[in-house]
Amino acid sequence: MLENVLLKALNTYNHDPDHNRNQVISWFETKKMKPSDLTFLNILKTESEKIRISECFLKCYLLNASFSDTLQILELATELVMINSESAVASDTTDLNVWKNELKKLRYPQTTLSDQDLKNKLESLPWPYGAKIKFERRGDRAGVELKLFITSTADLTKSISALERVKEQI
Amino acid sequence: MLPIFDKIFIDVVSKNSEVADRVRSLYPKEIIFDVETEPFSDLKGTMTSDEFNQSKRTLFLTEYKGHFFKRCPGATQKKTLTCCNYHVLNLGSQCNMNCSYCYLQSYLNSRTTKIFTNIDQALAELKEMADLHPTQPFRVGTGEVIDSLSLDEITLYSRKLINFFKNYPNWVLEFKTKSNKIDQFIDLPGAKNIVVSWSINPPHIINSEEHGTARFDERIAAAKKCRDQGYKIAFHIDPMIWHPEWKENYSFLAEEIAKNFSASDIHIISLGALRFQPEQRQMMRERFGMQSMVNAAEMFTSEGNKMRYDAGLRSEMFQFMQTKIRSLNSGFNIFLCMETPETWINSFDKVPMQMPELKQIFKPLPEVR
Repeated sequence: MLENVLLKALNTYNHDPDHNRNQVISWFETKKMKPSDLTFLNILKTESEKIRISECFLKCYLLNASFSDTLQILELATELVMINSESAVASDTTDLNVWKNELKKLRYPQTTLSDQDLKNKLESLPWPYGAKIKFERRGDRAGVELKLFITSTADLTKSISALERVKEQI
Repeated sequence: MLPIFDKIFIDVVSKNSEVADRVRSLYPKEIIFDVETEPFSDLKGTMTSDEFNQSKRTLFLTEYKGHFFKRCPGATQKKTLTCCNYHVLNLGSQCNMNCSYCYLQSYLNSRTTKIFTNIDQALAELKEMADLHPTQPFRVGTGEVIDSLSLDEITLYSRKLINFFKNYPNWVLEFKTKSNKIDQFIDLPGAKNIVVSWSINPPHIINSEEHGTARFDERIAAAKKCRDQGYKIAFHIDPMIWHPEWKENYSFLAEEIAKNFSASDIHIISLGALRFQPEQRQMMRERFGMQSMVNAAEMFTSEGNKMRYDAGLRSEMFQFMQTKIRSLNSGFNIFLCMETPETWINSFDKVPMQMPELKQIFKPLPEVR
């Protein structure tokens, strides 16, 4: 199924079936991608659902996406199409990270919103002067990574005081 | 109505067991087969969705070869989870009901539903441990890899277990179920150390995600019947499943519990949020589709590698439910199942050992051999 999905998409894009077949085989070999990696495609039922995902597949192929990017994009797109057939899984961007983030926003809309609220809240806190903070989601937890550069005990004392203020406001 | 099976296989070692006799008396002989080896044992590897579905309709009576009495799997993840010292007695495996989130989808690898016919060996193991530690508050559940009661009208094991546990009043037996199958033991008087518990969700979730289980009102009615007969009751509001109306629907659930039961009726109320192993996602998607609230949920990898809701959302759900339940009756004992210490602190401000009402439950117990 896997090769066929891509081959079908590629044939609509470039009308040279033999050449396309070789290209597809070579692409799967290079990426070390096996049918078992893409079992989630089995949930696609209608022809239109399959066509929409094969378009995503084709785009991954044309952008030479890595194994892991291809998998992430296709899994997100497949789930989105099956949750809501109207989901806008295709994208105009040629930046894979941008595309992945667009898909994640669609797949995790509530978490995207709550992360944005948390990010705004955390970034507005009175962190120590010169501290670098970076909002991150790590699995089921979201928070900030905090970097401090300390050169003296006085620096340290100031930072601790600032962090106490953060603690009061958090 | 009896549980439905397409085929029933009876292992040669189980052919003279009480359960085999009962199966022969309850089911048509055309679907019963005597076998010398486990059916489909030549099939290796992960089950497909179809094979998993079929395993629910294929019964195999056999003997269990290992130790029946074990610690709950939560105890094996003590680094990441706060464990409540639960012990399990597995008298079978697989379930004839069909919840979309069921962890058996990634746990089982047998193409049959098994009932272990050597209950006497299980009771002997229990007796050995109970005689060694008669005063320790061991809690033993039979509903880990099989529903405690949904097949009990076939086995009648509940009757043997109830009679056994009455001799060990400090040990607690828990039947955990999503069925309303209680008639097979309800004539036996209950006892304080025998808990019949329901894994329960609001009707909206039961109807959409817990296929083939007893309806909400049937579970409540069965629980009331057990309470009236002297059994302790427990409710496991687990897994809580987020949906747009979750606050209203879980409030309704809490109100129904508080309306029908007093604090003295209820042993514990546990809370847990949707969680599953990443390996079972595909089977869940194939079996229940992406319209299922479980499959459409926003899940993330957590410490310990299970998929869970965002930690903040989990704490919000637990806090909401705890506040709601306590506002209705402050006497209910509430705890979290299979959760991290961080979530305990975010939800309850404490870990269980700091809570007098839960200290006894979470106190370490002697190791099971």
